[in-house]
Amino acid sequence: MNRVLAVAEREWRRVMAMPVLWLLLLPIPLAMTLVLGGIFHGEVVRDLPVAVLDLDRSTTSRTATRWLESTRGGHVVAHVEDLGEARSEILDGKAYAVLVIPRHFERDLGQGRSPHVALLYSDQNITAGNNLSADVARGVSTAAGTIVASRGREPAPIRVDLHVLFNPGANYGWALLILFIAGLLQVVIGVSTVYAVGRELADRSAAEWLDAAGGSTLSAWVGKLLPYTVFHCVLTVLLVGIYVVWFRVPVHGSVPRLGLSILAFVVASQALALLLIAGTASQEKGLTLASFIFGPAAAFSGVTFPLQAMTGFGYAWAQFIPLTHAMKLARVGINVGDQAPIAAPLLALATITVVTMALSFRRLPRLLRDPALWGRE
Amino acid sequence: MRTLLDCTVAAFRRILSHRGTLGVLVLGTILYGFFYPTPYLHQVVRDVPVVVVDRDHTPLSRQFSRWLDASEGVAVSARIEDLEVARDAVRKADAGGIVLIPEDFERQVLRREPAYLTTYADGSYLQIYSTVNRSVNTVAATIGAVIARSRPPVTLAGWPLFNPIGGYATFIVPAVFILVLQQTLLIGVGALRVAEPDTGGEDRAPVWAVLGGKSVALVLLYLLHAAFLFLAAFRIYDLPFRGALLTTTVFLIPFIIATTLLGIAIAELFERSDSPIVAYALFTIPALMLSGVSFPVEAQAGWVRALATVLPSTFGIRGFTQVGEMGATLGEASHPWIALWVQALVYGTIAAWLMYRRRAAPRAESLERSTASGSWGIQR
Repeated sequence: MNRVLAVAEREWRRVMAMPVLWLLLLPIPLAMTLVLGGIFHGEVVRDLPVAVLDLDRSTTSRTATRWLESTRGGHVVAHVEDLGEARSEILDGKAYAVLVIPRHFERDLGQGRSPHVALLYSDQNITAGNNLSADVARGVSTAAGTIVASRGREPAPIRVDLHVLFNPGANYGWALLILFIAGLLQVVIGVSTVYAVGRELADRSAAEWLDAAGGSTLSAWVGKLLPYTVFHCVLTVLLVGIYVVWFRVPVHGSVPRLGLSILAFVVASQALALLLIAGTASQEKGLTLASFIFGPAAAFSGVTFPLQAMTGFGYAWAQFIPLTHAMKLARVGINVGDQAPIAAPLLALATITVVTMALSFRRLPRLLRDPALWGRE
Repeated sequence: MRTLLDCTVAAFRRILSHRGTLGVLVLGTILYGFFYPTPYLHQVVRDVPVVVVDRDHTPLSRQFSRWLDASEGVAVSARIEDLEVARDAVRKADAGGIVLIPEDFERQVLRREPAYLTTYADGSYLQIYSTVNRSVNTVAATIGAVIARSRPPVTLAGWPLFNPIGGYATFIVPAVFILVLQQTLLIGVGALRVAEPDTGGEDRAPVWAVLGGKSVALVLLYLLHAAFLFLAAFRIYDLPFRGALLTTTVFLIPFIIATTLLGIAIAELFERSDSPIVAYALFTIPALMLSGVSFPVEAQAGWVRALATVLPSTFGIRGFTQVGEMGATLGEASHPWIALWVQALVYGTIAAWLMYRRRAAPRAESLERSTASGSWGIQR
């Protein structure tokens, strides 16, 4: 126990002497969480700039413009004269969409000829495009309902009453910020593990490390990694706490289940990173691999684009990344609550931990003792 | 001019002779170009499992269920009566949504009374939620129109432009590729700085020529990378590229120069080659988000939008989307293009100032710096 403490104490001094490491452990994740939070500041997509091409120029067509203004997603920023001007509004990025009100709109509406209003929208950015088109469609259909009712006829027979489960306002901050925070945490855990071990090898200080552990391999590794496990769990609670408080996200899961989820995620990420540095015994290669695996992990997590819709390769790769399973735990722990099971993702994280530890196991004593593995950058 | 050419050749030689720079600046783009698009290649979400809770048991409720199953976005995974069982399936993420068809649904529809379908969609996955929502609404409107036999007084025709199927890869991959160019360039320029000796032959060349030479070399190299990503990889992955070649090239030049000069400025500040890789892993996703692809800039906090103007990727992604994906002219993309030139000017000035400062520093200090393990490590 004393040996473990001695190694932990030595690690503390090392961290304090390595700005890259301590910056990576606390100030950078905190600052990045604030930036990520600021990105989702608006929470939902609202008031996207839209141009109007009114070919009718009647009182009624101006009412139609107000249907657009009444939607959450759209906001009229310009009136254009023709389709060419409409096109360039979209191309030079001033508007996401153009609402086209056809000629004779007032007359056709009055005579019951069912005129079409057209929304030309850029779907290059599908977040903006989908939200805007859905909102405007809803706005027009509400207006249609009002017109029908004012004429004393029956409205459309089937109405859809939508309930969004686990995220009532379809809030982007709720749904996505947790992913990017967890992805950030995984990068921090992975890179700091590789860095903390990799510098010992690069600096040829492994012998001194082993000395601090009184020659015990087990104490050396436990003393090295366990303080980080504790720290990363606390950091996870802190950053997820910022998300929960900032975006007023209700947490439905119980504390023991959340704690277990966090621990499983941290340990699996550490174990995978340990394999990277143990396998390469080179800080530079380890960091390159870590950034390759952990950097884009959020894209494979199944949150932004569902796992079931991924290609076979994408799906398979995702299974090896702790973040993929951690996001299932986060969804249950935060949004759904204890009614949903968490055994499968926990088991997946445990499997990643066991397999990667088994693969690096035989290298761990050698890294401490074999000078041939030291001194590589 | 002669000096600039010499410096360009020197930069090329150094990139090709050093393993680290060769890996990042040449192979990095190719590897990432193949790897990053892989999750999204199916483009759209199809057949999201939806549970139909049918309490009506009429021909109309069965018709609704069949039509819903036939829609592209969702597939009916079960038809049951117990709502709680269905909710459990959504909690477990076995289903993406539920459609509850109430008792008397058909009777109300036939009597022309308003009939409500209740839809529950899993809001923790926004793609799933929007797919379920859209599919259910479309089927309800279609069946409603068939029954009512009257057109609504006004309808909306939606015309999606540039990405008509709403493909996820078409949306995200161009942005990711611009980001790949920026990130490999930043790491590579850092590695290049480490690869050169402190008192190499380059020090004799004037600062402007060193900066210019590196910029020219990297512009040439990265235009090749851009061609590989946007012409070759796009074709392999069947993604649309609508840009005019000349316009796109002219647009990308200040992007590459600004990124190179930013990289040089950063490399002058930090001497170790490991810090850029760490930064790369950390900043890739936030840089992507800051450009507004995932969540529109209009809804981001003001201070975050201000921060985003520091990164070449912000304007690179915006402008490339316009020029390369929407087929805009340089005039239409002039705002990001000019912003990139401004960045190039600012970062060039900073890089030049830092280089002057380093050269002016007394030799003793530079010796000390080269023997110590650098400002980022611990003492050996």
